[in-house]
Amino acid sequence: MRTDFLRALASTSEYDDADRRISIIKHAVRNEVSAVDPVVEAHFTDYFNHSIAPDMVLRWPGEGRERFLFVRPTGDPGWLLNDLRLISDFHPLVFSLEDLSSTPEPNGFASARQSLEERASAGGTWITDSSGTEVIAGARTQSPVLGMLSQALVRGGRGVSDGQEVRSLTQATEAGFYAASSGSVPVTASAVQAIEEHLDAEQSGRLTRLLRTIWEAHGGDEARFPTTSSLGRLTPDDLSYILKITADGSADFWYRLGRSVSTELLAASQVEDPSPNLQALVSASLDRLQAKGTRLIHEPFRLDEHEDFPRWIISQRCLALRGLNWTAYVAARKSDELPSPSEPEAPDLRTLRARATVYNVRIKEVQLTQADRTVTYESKEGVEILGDRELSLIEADLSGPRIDKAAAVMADGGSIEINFRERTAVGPTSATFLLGPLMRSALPLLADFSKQELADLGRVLRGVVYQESLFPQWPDEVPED
Amino acid sequence: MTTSASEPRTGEDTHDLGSEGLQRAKVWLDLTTRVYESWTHRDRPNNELIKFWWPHGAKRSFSFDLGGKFRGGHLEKRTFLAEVKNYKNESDLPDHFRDFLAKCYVALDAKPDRCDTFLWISWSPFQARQWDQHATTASVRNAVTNARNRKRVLGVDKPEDAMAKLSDEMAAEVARRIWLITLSEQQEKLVITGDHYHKIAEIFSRETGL
Repeated sequence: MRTDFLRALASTSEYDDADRRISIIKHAVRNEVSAVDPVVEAHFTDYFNHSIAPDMVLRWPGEGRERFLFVRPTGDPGWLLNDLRLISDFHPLVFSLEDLSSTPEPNGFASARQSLEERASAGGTWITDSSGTEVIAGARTQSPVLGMLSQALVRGGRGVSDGQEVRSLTQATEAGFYAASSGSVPVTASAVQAIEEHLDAEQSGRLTRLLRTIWEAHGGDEARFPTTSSLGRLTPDDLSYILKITADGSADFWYRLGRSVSTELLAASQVEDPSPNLQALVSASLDRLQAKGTRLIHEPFRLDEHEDFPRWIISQRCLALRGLNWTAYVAARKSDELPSPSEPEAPDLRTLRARATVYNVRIKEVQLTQADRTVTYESKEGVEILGDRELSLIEADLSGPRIDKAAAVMADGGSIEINFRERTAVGPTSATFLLGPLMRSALPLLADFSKQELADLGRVLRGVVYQESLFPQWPDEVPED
Repeated sequence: MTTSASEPRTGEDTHDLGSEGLQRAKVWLDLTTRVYESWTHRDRPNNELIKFWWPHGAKRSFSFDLGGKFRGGHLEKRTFLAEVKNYKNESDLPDHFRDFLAKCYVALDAKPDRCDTFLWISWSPFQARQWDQHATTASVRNAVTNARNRKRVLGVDKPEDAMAKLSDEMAAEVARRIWLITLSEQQEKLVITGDHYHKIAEIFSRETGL
């Protein structure tokens, strides 16, 4: 980027017209900022190098925030210090066309730079140059944490950050996040200090909360975590932000984050559909996220929705798996978190037998209904009953009964109650399940899926590469509908 | 105004004083709310736009202190070049003003589109008895044909040759475009208040054009 930037600045010499030059300069600066934060929208104003009118207004889709950007041709700390008197109340981003470290005046430079650093830091102004944006733009793709850091700098950076300063910050941050996994106090503390020195409270809080979350998720002693300005755990807003901005997150990143989030936290977050990051996070967390149950609701395919099925979504304040014409909502703790059920669809015994074989779920109890008659057939030992001759006789006696309810035993031994009238599967009393096994066991019982859908469900609910051995092998051959 | 090696700076103090005055003048101009853009002689790359060559100056150049563009009303999009003198009293301002006029003459001849207005900004008046004569064709004529300037502007040594070569039309145009602005510390403070310029900055930020 820096080469392009310097080349763009040099190219202005070809033009005699000030407006043309300013346009080139602004586009070059916008490219620098976009390289650090790809989602930022930089709107040009009619002004250039003005004492109080910004050159650009930075905005972020859906965030309702904006930040002024002032272009400054000089990197002279004394001059910039004077400038701050008028603009620091805006907590702006100041982009110096000149390298901040190459001021031509040695006299008083050190003290002026120090004063500038202090003033910018105290006033929430972030002053950088193309050497700074070059370093952070290069680092941001190396890890999601550095991606978050780079976007946090554009939104809420403060202080003076030339290339050297940014390099120190990125190294401290990256090292801190690794150290948090191993419980190293000094390195984590250095990261906290660097993050809080360079970011405002909102942005630094988000990163230090994530740092704390990873620390605790890896068994770090809560009391030994370095002191931070922002207390508390990862918030739904933090998670929404992470899911929104993270690009190219490694499997390890999502795995580590997955140790730190809950189904409730996911349900409370705001996530646009489709979200590749949500897929990555849930996929990495199928063996970690807890769920009370799931409810399948008939919801027709919408013309404006994405066509990848099934996919994880956040809808009606629930984590949910979206399929073609259906959505399986997940309750984190209580079944009343689930949206109201759609029209009832109670299967007959033959259908239930077919569904149960999909994932070899053991049915230990069924409730058959015919008109106003209801019969409950149950194994006290909890063994499979669908093949019982007696059950077939009852079915014949009742002349085609429907099954309202059933109780099943999942592969890991947990018991789950199925209410077909509500297409809902929940754990009894206070029981909760791991999300992956719950969905793999319960979903095929709640509806008839095509072979392709079952194969897709198997892929998504297997968690791809994560902890694959934790789950029994999904059968390659599935029965015909 | 900066110059090439022919007019070296006289020391760091002068330089610092000049820099301070330049920044104060720029801020004051911006706070009038009538400026879109401006750049100083040290602001690359646009400082090239306020740098000029003496036509007969043996490849010597000079620069104005500030250049830019006005906004609003009859000033909309009109360009300016400015000379800033942070002097407490008259001192050698008359000499500087004379050279300023000669430089304006050169600039207008070379790049008229950058020269809609020539601003002389100082913190002290000079030769106040002739104040109304400073921005006149005669004053410009005298400045250009002065012994210090006629060689580098017109390429002649003799006064009569200079008078013959001088363009009266150009001198009149320069005079017409001169603005004499004498600031004081009090006047610098007599601008919109902080809360108002915050509001104005918000308004400015909504305007887009580039």
